[in-house]
Parts: sequence; C-alpha cells; structure tokens
Amino acid sequence: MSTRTAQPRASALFTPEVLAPEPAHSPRRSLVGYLAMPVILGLVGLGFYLYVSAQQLDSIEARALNATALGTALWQHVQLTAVSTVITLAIAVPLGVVLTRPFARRLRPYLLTVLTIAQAVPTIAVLVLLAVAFLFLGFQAAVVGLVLYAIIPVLLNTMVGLEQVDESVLEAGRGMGMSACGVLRRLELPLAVPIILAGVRTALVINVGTATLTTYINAGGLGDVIVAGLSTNRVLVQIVGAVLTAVLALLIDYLAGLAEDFLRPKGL
Amino acid sequence: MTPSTGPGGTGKVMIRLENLSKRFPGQKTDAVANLSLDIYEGEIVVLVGPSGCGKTTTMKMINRIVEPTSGRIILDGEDVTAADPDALRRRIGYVIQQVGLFPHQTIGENVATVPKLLGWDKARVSARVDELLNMVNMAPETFRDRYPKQLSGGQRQRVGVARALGANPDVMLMDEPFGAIDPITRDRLQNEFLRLQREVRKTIVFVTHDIDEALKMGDRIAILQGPSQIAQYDTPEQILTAPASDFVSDFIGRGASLKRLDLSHVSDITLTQWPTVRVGAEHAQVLDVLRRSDKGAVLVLDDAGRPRRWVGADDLDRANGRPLDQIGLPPEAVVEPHATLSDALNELITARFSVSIVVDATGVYQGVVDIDQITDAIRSMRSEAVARARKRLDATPNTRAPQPAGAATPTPDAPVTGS
Repeated sequence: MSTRTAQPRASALFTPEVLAPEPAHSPRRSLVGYLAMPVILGLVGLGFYLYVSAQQLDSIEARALNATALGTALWQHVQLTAVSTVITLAIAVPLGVVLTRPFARRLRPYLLTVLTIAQAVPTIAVLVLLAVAFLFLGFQAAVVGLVLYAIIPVLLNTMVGLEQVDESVLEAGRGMGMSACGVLRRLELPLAVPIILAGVRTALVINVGTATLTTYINAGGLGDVIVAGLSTNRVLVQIVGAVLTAVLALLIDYLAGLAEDFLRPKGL
Repeated sequence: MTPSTGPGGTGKVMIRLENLSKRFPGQKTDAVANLSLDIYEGEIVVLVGPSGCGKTTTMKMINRIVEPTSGRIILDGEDVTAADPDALRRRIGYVIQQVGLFPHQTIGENVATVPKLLGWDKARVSARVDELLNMVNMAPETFRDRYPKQLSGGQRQRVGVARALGANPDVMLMDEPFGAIDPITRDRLQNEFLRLQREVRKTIVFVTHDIDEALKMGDRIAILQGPSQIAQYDTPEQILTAPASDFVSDFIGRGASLKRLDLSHVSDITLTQWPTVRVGAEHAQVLDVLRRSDKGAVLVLDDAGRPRRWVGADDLDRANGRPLDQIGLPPEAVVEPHATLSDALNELITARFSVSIVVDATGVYQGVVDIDQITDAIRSMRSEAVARARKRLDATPNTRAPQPAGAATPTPDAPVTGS
C-alpha cells in the first residue's frame, strides 16, 4: 500500500515533463507555497498520533506501536534510503558523464538496453535472489537491491540532462578556448543540474517506497511494522506502518523539491 | 606589385591558409579541397557562397574547431596547424549565429569568459567587461547583471560580439553572426559593427550566404564556388563591376549596378547646383532667378542656408504677399553626403523635381544629385574596372611578391582553383 506513493514517480520518469522540465519563469515559490507541505504533513502526523493514542491497544499492538520500536524502524528506513541514494548518485552521475562523451557513443545503446531490462526485474525478486542464491542478507544486501533499481532514472536523467545542453553553447565555449574538461565542468554539468536533480528526486522516492520490502531480508525499516501488522492480523499496526511510510515519502519528495529549486542555476 | 589595401588594411598578411583540405569521416569527397587564401591585417574578409561550398568549414579550420585533414594555417607569421588548440582559440574571437551565450551566467560573466581563462585579475576583468559593454552600446550598469534569457535577439548578438572581443584578439571569426535576426535589427547591428570595426581594426573572417551582406560588410570578398574553388577574391567594387566568371555574375544576381550604387557615396561625386534664393528675397528677385534658369522652381534657403521650400512661378502668383517660407512645397528627398548613391537614387525617383537635395551634417544646403550624375557614376565605375583589368593583363606575373602556389591574392588575374 505504501509503495504505491512511489509508483507514479517511477513511471513519470519516462514522460517528457521530467526529462525536460519546463523553464519555469520564477522557479522559487512563495513562502506560503514552501510552508504548505510541511504544515499539512505535520497536521496529518499529529491527527494520526491523537487517533492512535485514543485507541485501546492490546499487548501485541502495544509492543509494535511504541516510540522505541517505531523510532528504530523509521531511523533504519531513513538510513536505507539515504545510503542507497548516495551510492546511486556516486555510480550513476559519473557513469552518465562517461557515457555521453564521444568515445562512449558506441557502447551506449548496449548498456542502456541491459539497464532497462534490469529495471524490469522487480526489486523484491532481486532481494530474494540475493538472499537465496548468495545468502546475502541484511542492510548491505538491501542497499545493493535498492541501488540496482534506482540507478536507471538517475543515469538516464544525467545523460538526457547533458545532451539537452544547447550545442551552440558548447561550441561557443570550445571556440573561446575552454578545454573539454572546462566545458564539462563549467557549462555541461551546471546546465544539466535541473534534470539530474529531477532524476535524484525520482530515485529518492523510489527508494523510500521500495525500502519497505527489505524487511523480508531482515534489513529492518518501516516494512517491519507493516509486516508485523499483517502477520498478527492487527489492522491498526498495518495502518501506522503505511501512514508513516507515506508521510516519510512525501516529506523526502518535498525536501528534494526544495533542493531542485535552490540548486537550479540562476538564469535558466 | 603590392596588394591593394582596404580601408583599414596595412598590407600585412595576418592569416595565410595554405593548401587546406578537410574530409569529414565517412565522406567520399572533401568538404574543402586544397584551398589557399591570404587574409590581410585589419580587413573584413567575407567568405560567401552557396550552401555546401565549404565556407563555414574553412572558417572553422582557422581556429581548429574543425581540424584540417591537410594543409597549413599561418597566423601572424606563426604556423599554428599543430599548436595547442585551446591556447590558439583564446587568441581568436569567435561569434556564431546562435550566439551561444551561457544561459546560467550573467552578461558580465559571459563577456568575462576569455579574460578569466587567461587568468586576468578581478579588477582588470571587471574594467574590461564594462569597456566592452559600452563598446557594443549596452549600458554596463543596466545589463551586466542580467541573464541572457532577459535579452532580445539583437542584444544577445551584441553581447556575443563583446564576448568575442574579450581579450582584445587580433583576429575574429564570425559565422553568419546576423543571420538569425530580423532585417531591421540586422541592418542596425551591421552598421554598428562597421562603426566598431573602424575603431578596433580587427582582422575579421566573416561567413555569410547573403551576397548583399557580403557586399556591405566586406573589405574583400571571397566567393567560394565549391570545395576546391575560389571563384573570385576581390574588393566588393571589383566583384560588382568586373565579375570574374559567369558563376560570380549569377551569384551576385540581378541588379549588380544597383548594388554597386550601395558602395559609392554622395560625397564621392561632384554635386550640381540648383537655383536658390534666401528666405527674405523679394518676389521679383525670385522670378528673375527662375527666368535665368531652366528649372521650374527655386529652392528657398533659410538664413542658416538650410532648405526650406520649393517655390515656382505659380506659387508666387498665388502668394498674396505671404513670405517665401509659407508658399510652395516643403523640400523632400534630402540626403547627407555619407548617404549611398543608392539612397540618393531612391529619393530622387519619387522627388518632385527629380533631384535629391544634399545637405551637410548641420542641414546646410550643399547641392543636388540628379539621375544623369548617377548614370555618369555607374559609367565611370565600369570604365575604371575595365582599365584595372587591362592593367593586370599587361603586368607580368614575375613582378609579384612570391606566393605559395595557387594562393588567392586579393587582386587575382583569374579565378583561383585548387589542383
């Protein structure tokens, strides 16, 4: 249920508006615009807390729904998301840069095909494969699974971002005596930042959602709460896990949106 | 025989292309084949020709955006065919049609690109940016901190020119710089650029497909016929009056004589005088002047000598005592001496007495131009061109300065072809 919040993002990657975001005239929103989302999320969280507090909990529910258990699950979830996203970026952005250099032109279609096929394999299958075939379990295995899945959107957006840079800008840069490295660093990468960030945002949201599945290979996270609720048939526990995941996903998406707004180069 | 020099020319060869060829990978024929060309210091040389004649490729080989397959490029006496391309490009200004301003940098940062690459200190860069923006009529305090998105097409191209002049290069390459701009703005930018060039006197290689732009901008024009052939390399005047081949005549198109008139100015010809009177003159005096001339009207000048009215005998009859500056017709078709003969012709065709009135910068009457003077001017241009062509036929090739084989000199005997 909670993973569903992430799914529209994943498919949105392949629609034009993410690959080539419209040049917004004023990329910065008003203060009210910036405050709306955290206020709404805070109200939802508070309301839900009050609702759960008012319920009579049995011993199973009480064991699952206490501050320590939920805090640990939430913290593990954040760690899974953060570590897998950082590793994803560290792999996908440099790879995207290399693949857009002239010498790699021939290699590109093959690699993209392989990666696109890889993306068709569900993460849960990858996690199970890692666990069953390699007896690879826990946090690290979960990170491997998440990275494999999130690499594609960041890589594709990095490549598209670099390639959409106006050819005449690059020719002017070369023509004035910038080195190939200088053109990459001072023109291509800054101008690709908005689209690369859109890919990062996608990866983050995919990772928040998918990280609920890593409970099955003993990597913790909010999936623990949901699965505990399912296996003990306690609807309230399931809902708490799902709502926390959803709120976390929306919050991270909001923070990534802030980053997009503030890291976008001026003048674009 | 020394080469004739253009208005800014010193006769020194700034760029020499020797047997330059380029074949792009996967192509069966050369884009440029065995091309040789001498470009003189301080001149605007326009490479013009139909699509696919290799003009842009030729220009881009000078700063090695396109690496030549064979041949040599000599810049200011130095062979740069194998020099470090980045260092070479910092010495050469580069302006392209799409301008290619960096959208994430302010106008000031854009213009500072090359000075920064050369490691100038901050104060010097900032002073230079302001100087350059002033040079292209963009007030630094208004535009320095704007982004390219906030500028119009014409303003962007001005910034493009300022940026290319960044580190005061001796040589500028311009690839259809005014090609994507509306005709009115283009005309203004061309004029501004010519004025700027009179100050800075750069050696400029200018590519266009538009022969009219070539004639306007060029001190010298190289008409490229195909990958291996310069059909004619000469001054605009010579190309119009003595086209070297049918290809050149066809390329100039119809109206070569009219285009030739664009290159001569009213100040180049002797003006005729028209009967004039001062604004305070008696009517009897006006009639007297009219009677002694063969014209239908006199030109009334004010006390400062500026044209005020055309007054004919009929106007005097109907005057009823009104002063001269309230009867007759206002003078139209007024041109200044720097106007082209084409402007003067255009004015006089529609003018009442079939003349253009010439005034100086303060508006004081100088004389008039009529159709006979313009036909005389065309005739004398023709005979001059013929005389020049004859003289070259008579000259023996041995008296020339030594040239690389097949080099196109500014005054060639015949179209220069590659081997």
